[in-house]
Amino acid sequence: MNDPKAFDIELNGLVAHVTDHTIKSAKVFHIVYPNSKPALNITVAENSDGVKFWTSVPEGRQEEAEFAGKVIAAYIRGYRRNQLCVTITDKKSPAPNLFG
Amino acid sequence: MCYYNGQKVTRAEFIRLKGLEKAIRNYNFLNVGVHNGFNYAPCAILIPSEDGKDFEIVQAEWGYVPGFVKTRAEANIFRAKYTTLNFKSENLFLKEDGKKSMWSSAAKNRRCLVLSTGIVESRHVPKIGKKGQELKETIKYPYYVTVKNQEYFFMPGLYNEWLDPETSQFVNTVAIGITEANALMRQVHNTKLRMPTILTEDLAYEWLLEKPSEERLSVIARTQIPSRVLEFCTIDPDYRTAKEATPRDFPELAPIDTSYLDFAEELQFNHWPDDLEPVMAGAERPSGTVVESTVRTYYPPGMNPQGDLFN
Repeated sequence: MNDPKAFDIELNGLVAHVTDHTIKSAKVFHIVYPNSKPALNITVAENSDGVKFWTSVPEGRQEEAEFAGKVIAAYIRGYRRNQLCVTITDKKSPAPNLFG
Repeated sequence: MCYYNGQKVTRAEFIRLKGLEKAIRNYNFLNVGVHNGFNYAPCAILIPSEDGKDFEIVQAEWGYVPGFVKTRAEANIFRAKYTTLNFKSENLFLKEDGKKSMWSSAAKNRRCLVLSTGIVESRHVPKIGKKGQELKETIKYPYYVTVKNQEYFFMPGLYNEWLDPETSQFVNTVAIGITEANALMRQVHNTKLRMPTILTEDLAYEWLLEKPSEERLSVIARTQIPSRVLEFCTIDPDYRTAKEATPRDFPELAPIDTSYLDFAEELQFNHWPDDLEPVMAGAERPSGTVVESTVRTYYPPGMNPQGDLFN
């Protein structure tokens, strides 16, 4: 099961387009806003206590990164859940009776 | 201890994030579906590494700006006046009048490759008047043209590192090589009868990383890909705004004449291997199409041929 490579999320009432990239082994989300706001790159970093947090790359847009990161995480969790449901349903479905 | 975006992180994590920043600067533009040259938007180019043995992918604005241009405003005026999106491969070192070409220095020292998955060109068809006569006004039908069985291909480019005084940053700007159109592109780009130069992998390697003579560079830059190696379809005219090439049929549009599939196309600068051309396989080329053989490239240990680099 693969996570989506491109999808749309809603941020403050605006639909932003998100693409997923793997750069230098790190997962980076590139967020393009529908208005003139510059695109934002975010990734997951780890603080000195071992706690993970969303951060903008480059630095300077931490607040936006945390907000967008949470929305993206929720979207991907929802996407994975739906994928699982589809799989379970498939497995439990009886074989269709072609002659009945 | 270091801080990143106000958070306390370890030195190792700080270094990793700073490394990521650098990498992202070169990559965050690659998800654009269609680049419109007249926006001078960034595109991906391959330039040789400092030691000349490898290459790196960097960002460049499509539309060459020479070093003597001083400001961004001047750069835009220059581009509008001279249209430096493309360079004419026939004038790589010399202009028609025999004088030195403006591309000469870049051709010697700043060659690059432009990565592409396909090109968009418009076919112009005259509108028909009330009395059934052809009008001067035309309808433009955009075509998306790709290389058969190749996810992406390389075009020869010339780049310049230009200092933008407003941001005090160096900006790469690039022009793409164009050559005489083949049978397919003469019908598609029927106003200019030109097409981008599309290189074989061996020629791309030679253009970027070797030191060919001026004569050889001119021959490479004029490479004409044969029509039968190309695939095409008409697309929705909204590609500039949608930034995607969406296939669309136009029932009123006369089909492209594909009789080039039935005979060996005569192109003066066809450097593509014969085995890609079923008609040519096992047959002799017609006289008059003398072509320099392409040189097999030596790949240093640990370095794959270019086609494998993105796997």
